[in-house]
Amino acid sequence: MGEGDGAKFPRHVDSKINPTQVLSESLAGDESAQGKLLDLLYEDLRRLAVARMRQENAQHTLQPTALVHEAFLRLIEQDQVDFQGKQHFLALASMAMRRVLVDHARSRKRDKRGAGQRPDHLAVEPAASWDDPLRLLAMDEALEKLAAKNPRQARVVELRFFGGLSLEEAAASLGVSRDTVKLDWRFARAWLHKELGGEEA
Amino acid sequence: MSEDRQSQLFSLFAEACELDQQARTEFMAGLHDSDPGMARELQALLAADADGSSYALEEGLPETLLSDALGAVKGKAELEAELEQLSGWTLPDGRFELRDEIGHGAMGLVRLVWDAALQREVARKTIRSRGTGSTRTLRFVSEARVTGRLEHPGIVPVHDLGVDASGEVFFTMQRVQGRNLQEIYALTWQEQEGWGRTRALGVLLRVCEAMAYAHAQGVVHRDLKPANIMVGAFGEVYVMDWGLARVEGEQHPLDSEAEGSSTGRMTMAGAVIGTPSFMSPEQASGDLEQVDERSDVYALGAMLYELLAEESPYAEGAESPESIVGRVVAREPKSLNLESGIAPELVSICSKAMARQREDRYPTMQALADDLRAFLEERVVQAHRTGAIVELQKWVRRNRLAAAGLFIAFVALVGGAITIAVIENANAERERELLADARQQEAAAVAAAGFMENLFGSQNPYVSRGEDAQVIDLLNAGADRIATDLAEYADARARLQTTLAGSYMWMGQFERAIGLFEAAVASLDDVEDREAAEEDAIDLLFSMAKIHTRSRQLERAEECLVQALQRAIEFSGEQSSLTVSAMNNLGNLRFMQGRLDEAEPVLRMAMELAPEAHGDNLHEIVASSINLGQVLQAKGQSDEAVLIIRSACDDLRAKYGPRNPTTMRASMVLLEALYADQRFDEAAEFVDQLTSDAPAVLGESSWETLRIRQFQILVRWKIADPLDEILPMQRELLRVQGETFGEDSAAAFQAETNLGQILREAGMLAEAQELYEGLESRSVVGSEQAFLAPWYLINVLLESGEEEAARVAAQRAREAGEAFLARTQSQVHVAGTLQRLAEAHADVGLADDAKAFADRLLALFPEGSAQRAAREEWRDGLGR
Repeated sequence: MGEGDGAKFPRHVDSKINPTQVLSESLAGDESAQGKLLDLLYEDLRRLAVARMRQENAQHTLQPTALVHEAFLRLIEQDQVDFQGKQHFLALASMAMRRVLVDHARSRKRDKRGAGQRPDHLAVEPAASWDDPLRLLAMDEALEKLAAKNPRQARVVELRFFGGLSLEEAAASLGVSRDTVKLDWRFARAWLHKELGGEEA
Repeated sequence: MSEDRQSQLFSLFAEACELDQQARTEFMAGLHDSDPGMARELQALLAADADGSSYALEEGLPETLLSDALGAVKGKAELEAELEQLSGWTLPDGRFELRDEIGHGAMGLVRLVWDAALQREVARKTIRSRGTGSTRTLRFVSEARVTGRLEHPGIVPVHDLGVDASGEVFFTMQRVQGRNLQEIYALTWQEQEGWGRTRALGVLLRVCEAMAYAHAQGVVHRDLKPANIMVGAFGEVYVMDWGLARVEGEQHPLDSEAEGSSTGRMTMAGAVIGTPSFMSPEQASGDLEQVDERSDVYALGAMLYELLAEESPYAEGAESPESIVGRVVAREPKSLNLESGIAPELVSICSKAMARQREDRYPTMQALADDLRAFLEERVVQAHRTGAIVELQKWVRRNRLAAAGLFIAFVALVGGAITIAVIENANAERERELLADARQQEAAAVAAAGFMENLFGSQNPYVSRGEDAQVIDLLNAGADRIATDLAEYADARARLQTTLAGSYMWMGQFERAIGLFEAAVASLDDVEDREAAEEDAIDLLFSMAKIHTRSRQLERAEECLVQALQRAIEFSGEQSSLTVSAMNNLGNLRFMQGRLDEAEPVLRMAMELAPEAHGDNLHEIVASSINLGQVLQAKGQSDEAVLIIRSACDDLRAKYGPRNPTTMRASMVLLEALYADQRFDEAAEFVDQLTSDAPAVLGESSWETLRIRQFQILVRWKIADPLDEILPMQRELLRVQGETFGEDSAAAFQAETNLGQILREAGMLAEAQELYEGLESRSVVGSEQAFLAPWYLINVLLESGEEEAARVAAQRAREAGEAFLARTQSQVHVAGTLQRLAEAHADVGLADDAKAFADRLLALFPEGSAQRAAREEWRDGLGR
């Protein structure tokens, strides 16, 4: 990382927490460290997004992949973390991303009655999209259910869908083969579809 | 399902995925026998796997959603953190030197301070806070940031936000000198200091505009009220106090607390968020999720209400804020009293803005602004010109849904009936005059509105039966009743009649349109303001003449134009543009009728008067020259025609350049004149340039462009360009004409006869003969084409030496010619046809018949006239 990059994303100012260290602790199995890191990421992703949107003003399109990777570059001292550490971080970032999105969907669900702008005479409902907070929340719930039974498959969805990780990255993060992730993904895809009542059919 | 079974399901799924279709069926059958429950489960999964829609997960998240979610910034905790940060930016002591206190409210204190750094006076708003985390402080910081984010002339600019050395949070903003709208309202009601309702409406319009901007930025104010609007000494209008504003996608620091409160009301420590009288029902009932830009629209409506009613909504009696809140939630405010001279349009705008249901309000602040502006500027939706039918339909529909919409639609339709000028300068006397005037027109508007209400209300059988009333029925019913229902209001009557006439015109109901135009002219005679009325009446007469011309009632058209001319001369004198326009129209009409001798003097006079009357409007000036030139050319006075048209062309070229549509159209007329006068060399000088410029300027295949191309070919043919170049050009032109205007169009016919002429001259007689015979067989009985086709054929047959066939063709030409003569009204056509028939009969050796036609032609001209003399000479030369 050059100095320029450092200036672009000022490091988190909270001096009480050292993200790199928390990551190591979390990696070592410290669950409270994992929670701390998750909180940190949650805030950080939001800050990052805001900074991005200010920079890019009108056209802000955000990719989950880019965001979680940037968060990593920004929060963690690269030279102190190995490959496995990075994958662990990305997994946590995916979880944080899921939390951000689900929270947002919750608040929008409250707003939904007041959405107002949509013409109410539409005879045909537009095709369901993840923009619909209800759909996203239903998916979150179903994912919880899946996690209770097939935790790894649920994690794959979290990494792929919310974190935007590639098959390879997800595989590395979970410590399994690419083919396993691929099959997990396929199963979860079908299972969630069925669980959500094929609502978009 | 147990964990075991779930992982078993996964294994089975994995296994099944590996199998091909047939193997899978067998696999499933086996499973079904051993564990039917599991088989069903797996079957459903495999079906979902095969179903493409299950791949929704693959789509990933919409980027915008991610932005929204991550961008939903500023939770309370975050604001607190930032406030911490703020205190780090403490400004140097002594930068701001305290001066006077400007104002103070419940939340903050505004003082005038001297900014020593920038050397200027600014307003500095502070809040005494108990610790940076307090809700008040958060609200205060939020206000500064929201305001600072909005850059609009109607929103006061915020300069700085910070904490001073004493730990006080403050922000500075531009100092606004003036009064708040509450004070302005008081002046308005007393008619003091030049403040009247119209001027106050102007302020509200500015508020709408500023708010429309804020809404576009995703900011809802939530506390709009007269006290929060500042009006500067020079008419600037500022929306202030954004402390309650909510930014889209962000949470306001107060909202969570309000939401968390036991009542769900937006009350906090006894203070109501927002100001009850101006608060929308959704806001008053504490339904925060329902508050959006339409809540601001409501507040604006409430401000309008206060201006009109001279008291705020729900204000009767001194009440506590809580009880007002209760009443806002419970019912509508007292309705506005129309008797007190309030324009019905305003009442309607107000009730639409204050509708109880958000869906019934203006959807945006911009829409409210548009209606207010329309009212103020008298510009009003241009229903006149852009399709009154559609407006009417909308009107009917809206009226059946909500009576409130009626007046708005009425304004749209009646257009300028209501004149209220915006008075910028405080000229009290002038204002009183205008107001008196406005009141009078308001009365007319009320009457007209009543008329419309009857028309589209319960008294209309269609509407009362709930059927979709046919527009034509409504128009008829309205047309019949205008005269009686609006007997006292000539101006409104005339406008409605004009509008309805226009509607009939679009529907092709010309007779009804004419009847209403006539009625409108009569109504205008009753209007007191003669100047405007005369001008309108003359315009109406022009419109009527146009309709008559279109329906080939040329005499009635002439009557209208003669009347228009008389009125124009009487009203504005000879040297007025109205007079000259009337002369031009009249001359043109006579030219169309072929009454060249009558057209010429009118057009000559128009041409002489035009420069004086039209000032520097060269288009108008040149119009009469060109018309006159065409008349002269038709009369055979080609020299003068060319002279006049050429000079018009020169003027146009000098002013607008050569590649200008008007210049080019005039050049086309010049081309025709030169061609008719057989001055081919002169035409050849500019025809090529004109032809190459035409597509870009006049349109790729406009009739003018194609006509110019035709002349280019003819001119080249005449100056003896080789036929093997000319022929393909003419064939191509014929193809394009046919493609563009249809094979049976007059344009295609002309191109084809020209092709026949060229073929004949080239000695390709068989093809020419075939061409003309084809034309003859395709022509419509009684048309000029039916006569011209056999007439052209005669010459071809004569050249082929088939004299007998030529005579037969002459006979057919004669019959078709008589049929055409019986139909045509144009003197030019009559003369031309008689001349052609005479010459053709002479050519085929039927001298007596030729002479008879020639005599009929001569009879058209007065005895002893030069024109007659010239034609007598021609007659005597026939057949020699």
